[in-house]
Amino acid sequence: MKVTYPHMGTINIVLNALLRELNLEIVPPPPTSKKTLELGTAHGPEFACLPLKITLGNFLEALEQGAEILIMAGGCGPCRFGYYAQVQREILTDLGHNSTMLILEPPQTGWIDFLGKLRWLLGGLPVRAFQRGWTLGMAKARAIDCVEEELERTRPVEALSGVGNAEFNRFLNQLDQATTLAETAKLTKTYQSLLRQLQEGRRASIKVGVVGEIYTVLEPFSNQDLLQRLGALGVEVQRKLRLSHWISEHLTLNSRKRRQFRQEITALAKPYLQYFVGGHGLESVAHSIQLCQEGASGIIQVAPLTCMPEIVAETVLPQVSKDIGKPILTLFVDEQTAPAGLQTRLEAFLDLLPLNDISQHSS
Amino acid sequence: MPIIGVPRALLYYEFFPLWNGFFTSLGWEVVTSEPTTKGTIDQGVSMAVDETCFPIKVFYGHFLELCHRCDFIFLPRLVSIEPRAYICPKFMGLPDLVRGLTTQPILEPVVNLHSNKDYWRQLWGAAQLTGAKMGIKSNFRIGQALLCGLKEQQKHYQSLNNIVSPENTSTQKPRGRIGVIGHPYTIYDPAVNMNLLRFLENAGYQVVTPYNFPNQLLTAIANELPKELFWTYGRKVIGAARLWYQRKLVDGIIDLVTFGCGTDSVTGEIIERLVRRESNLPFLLLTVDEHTGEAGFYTRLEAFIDMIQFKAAIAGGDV
Repeated sequence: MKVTYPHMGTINIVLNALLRELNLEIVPPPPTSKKTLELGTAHGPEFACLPLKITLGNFLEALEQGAEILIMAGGCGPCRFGYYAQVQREILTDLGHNSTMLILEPPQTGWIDFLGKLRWLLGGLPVRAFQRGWTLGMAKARAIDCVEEELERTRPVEALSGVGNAEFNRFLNQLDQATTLAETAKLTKTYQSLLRQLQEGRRASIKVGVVGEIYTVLEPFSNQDLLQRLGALGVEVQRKLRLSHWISEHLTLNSRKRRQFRQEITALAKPYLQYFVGGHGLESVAHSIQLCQEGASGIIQVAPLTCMPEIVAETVLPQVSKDIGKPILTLFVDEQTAPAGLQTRLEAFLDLLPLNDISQHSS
Repeated sequence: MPIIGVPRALLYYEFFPLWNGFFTSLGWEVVTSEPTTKGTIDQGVSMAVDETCFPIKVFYGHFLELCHRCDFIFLPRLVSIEPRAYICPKFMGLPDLVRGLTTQPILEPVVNLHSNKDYWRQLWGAAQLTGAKMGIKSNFRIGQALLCGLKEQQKHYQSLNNIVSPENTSTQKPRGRIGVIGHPYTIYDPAVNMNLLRFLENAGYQVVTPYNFPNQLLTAIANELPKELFWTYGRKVIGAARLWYQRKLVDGIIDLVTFGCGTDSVTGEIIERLVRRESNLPFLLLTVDEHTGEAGFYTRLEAFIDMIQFKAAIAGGDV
């Protein structure tokens, strides 16, 4: 049976590693494009947030290519993401697709159910293969995060713009083909040093932290290539939200580490936001403080329009900005977001940063 | 005697009897903000962030009006009011949203009844904390006040379950029944919903809302969905819609949503699909916000009522 999944940045590489190990035939959805968004917007609920629409478009395109089983993540609230799969299934049913949705619920709600479905899918529970696939997938996720961090340092200082990106894409292609942990490690080393060479020892003078809702941070299509744009404008992007963090936070049982991580976030956000609000609302506040302490000159918050947790964060961020003395720009994206408007806002924001730094120093 | 201020917004429309009973039993005076007006809405809209939902904007208006008139503002952090469900992320951060707008002390007990196991411990903790903040140390008095509040709340629910609206004084038999689903703060605030309930009653229809039905019943029906919903009001609206069309209790369903409501964008989509798939009831989705104009709103309602009447006429063989 042919399985597919929605795109979220580079998560396809991680999922490919796992699914190949399980001997499943994969039909990846075509890369997210304008057509994907149009499909998702046409069939999705009008006021739902952008990721629901784009991932729905991914599913529709994959179904066109013959996919039969759709893999999707779930959740237990209060963010809407936890109910995405349910809405999408209803929509696909009404459109006449007889596909099966395999929903990865977080451990609190539905592991047993998930294992049952997996057993049905695979005709058994190949624990060893699953473990192998999981290890390789996670290794690849970490590899991507390491190299991408290097890429974010390279973009603003590379002599010829776009070279870093091209190398990164080559890395992703090769990483997707890698079948062992050793190969993954080797590729990571190679490309890290390659990107470092492109930097020629230079470091960007302006650093900007990016916080917000995870999908819109990780998926370049949804944020109009925000990270790449910032790089091209000579800015080094710093962020805490990365793919491997998200996976381990959502789908693993390592609760001690997670609890420690949460405590740190909660303590930082406490003066502004005293309770978790779902999604990455608390993280947006805490990371803004953290990133500025680590040297960022300003923060950009990016989230889909009507995102509930990020609206709470947006409301308290002006106070954070006042207290840490760094400007914070909030960008809400939806299907109407156009590149020109975004570019203008970014340029205006970046123009202000050095002025703010000067006035901070003199005062 | 210090005065406690309760903004007439959001879950005021469900829990005011409880809060009022609790505070008055402790001997405090309770004031609320005035009913919503255009001015309340305008002030709220000017202070809230643009992207937030309409009810929160209205809430800002009430909050600003009230904070000069009381000594304490009561703004509980309602994380969860029933097991295994939240309300909405914005309720979880509500006191934080307005903290910077006033110097008045905010009473903000956390109410988190998400886990069935320590439901009463959490509720008691919230009551105790509220009492302690105001200098009452006697557990007995707080317990008494909580019981008094809960009794008032129970009375309120019972009066709601009696579905014949007391305001409908006409002795005529209603032409039919229309179900309106939505959050309590949109259904019961006439300034937000353009007096929708009165309009329907004047058109000769009896109006029912999810709050006229016992919560356990609605939750049980909502939980028949493949995945349990994790929003309290999502459960209520889906449960009510399914109850109504399964048992043929209404002649039409109106889904009253506010612009920017995150939970409604998901539950509304599911309800619309279920109603279309499993019944042939007329269904109308009405979205309201600060720009909603009367003309467009009532035209759509009139068309909807016409549709119900045509259907009834066809069924009765009049056409």
